[in-house]
Amino acid sequence: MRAVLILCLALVISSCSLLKPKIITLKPPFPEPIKELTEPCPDLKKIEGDKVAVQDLLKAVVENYTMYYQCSLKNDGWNDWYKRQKEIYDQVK
Amino acid sequence: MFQIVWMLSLLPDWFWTLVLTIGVVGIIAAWILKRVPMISFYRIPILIISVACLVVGVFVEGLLYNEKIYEEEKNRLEAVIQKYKDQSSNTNLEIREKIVEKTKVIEKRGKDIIKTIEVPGPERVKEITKDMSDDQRKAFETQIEELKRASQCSLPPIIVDAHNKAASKPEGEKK
Repeated sequence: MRAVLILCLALVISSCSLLKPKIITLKPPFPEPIKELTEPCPDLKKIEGDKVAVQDLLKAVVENYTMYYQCSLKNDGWNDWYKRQKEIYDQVK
Repeated sequence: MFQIVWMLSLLPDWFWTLVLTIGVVGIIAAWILKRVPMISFYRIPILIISVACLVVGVFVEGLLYNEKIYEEEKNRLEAVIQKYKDQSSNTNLEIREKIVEKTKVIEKRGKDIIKTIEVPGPERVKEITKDMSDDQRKAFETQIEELKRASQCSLPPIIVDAHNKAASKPEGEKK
């Protein structure tokens, strides 16, 4: 009788463990990128017209420099975004 | 299998604890009855029922405990992910604000520089020079004259072409 009892309990305990592999698949979602960062950098400005003064050239140069710095800001922004989002992602346990 | 778990979980938890207790008490009672000659006749049915109760009780208690642990872990992970989502969106907001602000500053800076190379009208010159000393005013007016002269000269097309070529996208580059 004792042997039957032990066998029953062993079976019951093993069946509990058989039910265990219920895998929890909760993955953190990939973070949404910032809209401003996804906009492509515009093309550089060219000079048009037959008679071009130094001011026109300089204006185009200044505008292109401005565009460069704006684009560079986006690049820095992406790096910053990646670094910070990775830090947050790595904390998820 | 999970349907069975779901059906079993409909019954209150205390019911399964009761079944388990009945099983344990029944086995002890059967063991005691063994020593009482007059009523030892009931020992076998009590033992069978008790063992059945014990087996079912342990099984279901195990199942429910397992399910409880699973639910707790699921809730914990959901909370962690929610926290992650909040942190992530707050970071996005911070970076976005910084970029928008800096873009405005860069744009204004460019516009201000362009203003300095545009030849101002007489009214604008008056407005700019009103707080200047004589020497400063003279120097400013000389600059304006130089700007005026420069604006009348046109650049050789080769310079403009070179600039435009440099500003063009390199061949084969796709956007």
